Amino acid sequence: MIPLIIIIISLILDGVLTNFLPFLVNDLSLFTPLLTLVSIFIIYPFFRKKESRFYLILFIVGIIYDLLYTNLLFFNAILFLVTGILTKVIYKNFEINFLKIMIYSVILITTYEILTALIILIFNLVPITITKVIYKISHSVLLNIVYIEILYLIIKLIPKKYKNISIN
Amino acid sequence: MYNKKIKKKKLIAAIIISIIIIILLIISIILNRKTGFIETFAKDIIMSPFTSLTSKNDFNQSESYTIQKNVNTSLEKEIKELKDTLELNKTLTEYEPINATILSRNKSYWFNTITIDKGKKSGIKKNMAVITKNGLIGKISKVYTYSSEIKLITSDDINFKVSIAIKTNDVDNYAVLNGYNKKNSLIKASGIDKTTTINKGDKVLTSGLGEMFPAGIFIGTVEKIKSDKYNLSKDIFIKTSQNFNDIHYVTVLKVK
Repeated sequence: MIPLIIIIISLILDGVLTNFLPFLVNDLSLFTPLLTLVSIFIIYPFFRKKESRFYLILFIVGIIYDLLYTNLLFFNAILFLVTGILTKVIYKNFEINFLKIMIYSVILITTYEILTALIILIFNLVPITITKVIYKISHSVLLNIVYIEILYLIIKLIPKKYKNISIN
Repeated sequence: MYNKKIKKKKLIAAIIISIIIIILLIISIILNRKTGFIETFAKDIIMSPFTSLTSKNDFNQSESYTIQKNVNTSLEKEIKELKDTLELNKTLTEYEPINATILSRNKSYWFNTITIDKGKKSGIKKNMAVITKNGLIGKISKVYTYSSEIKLITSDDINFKVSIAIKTNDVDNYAVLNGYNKKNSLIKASGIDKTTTINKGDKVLTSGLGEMFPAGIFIGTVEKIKSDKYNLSKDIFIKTSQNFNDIHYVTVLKVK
């Protein structure tokens, strides 16, 4: 239940921040939200023993995300799956703590943006330059790091009986 | 032997998954694709809270304005925009204007699209021109039952070009819109013969040549003229009075 609440709130917040707060609407602000993406990292520990459900949720959330915000059906559904796999690799091989989460969220955002740019480049839809991709990544980092840290702290504060996970 | 079988199965699964992913990506990325029944249905359900909200909102806002005229500045701004839209409707006699409210912007930085609260049910069709009181802003790229997607002219999409006519001393010079400079908010147009005389301040309208847009829709005025990098033709930069980050109401032009 907790991971679902987290991902639904992130999904709604993503739309609110992108569309309704005027200071965020202009071209690209330093606070560009990718909240749903970074929340994937936080919810993974809830699904350690049932990974197929984790990927299914990511795929469904991705489709809803596409229908709501991008109109590119399956695009983010696939990218969220890739992010899920990357999250699993990070959890399996590295230690998770308050500071390291910052680095991991930057890795997730960078991978997501590079993959998006690569797909667009391969299908030759929009002229893409490395500068533009770096610009997009740099403007997406700040807000999302703050958000993932808040989520991390909230999950740590939840009493153990309500969660069958362990975050170091 | 057993391991080999497992490896083979895994390989086959990986290949199948990769093929499915590529197919799904191709489906999603084809921007001009027709929206299927399932997609339209899912989109309508997902967007229904927003579409119902905007239809109720319109009524409340106008009522609130008459009751408390100078209380809320943001409401006044919105009403002014609506009035401008109504004024605009009077001038468009050849078309049936369909007024719509913006529901959301595309979250993807690379695709400049917005979603409006009118769709098939309101008579909207693909490729219809979309304007505001400041001129052309884009075209309908996807239509769902109760909402549609507009591709803005600021989009860098390689497959979306707008044919324009630059009015210089009552002579039309033709060019094609070719990108948008976000820093100084100028739309770039290219393909103009270098011997052509174009002055700063000349009006830029749709030419109607591509048969995508009706002729004569205002886009902006010429702000800057430059030679291209090979000095073979001219590039012009068009200033539009439309702030593309601040659009709330639009008018879709339906040919009568």
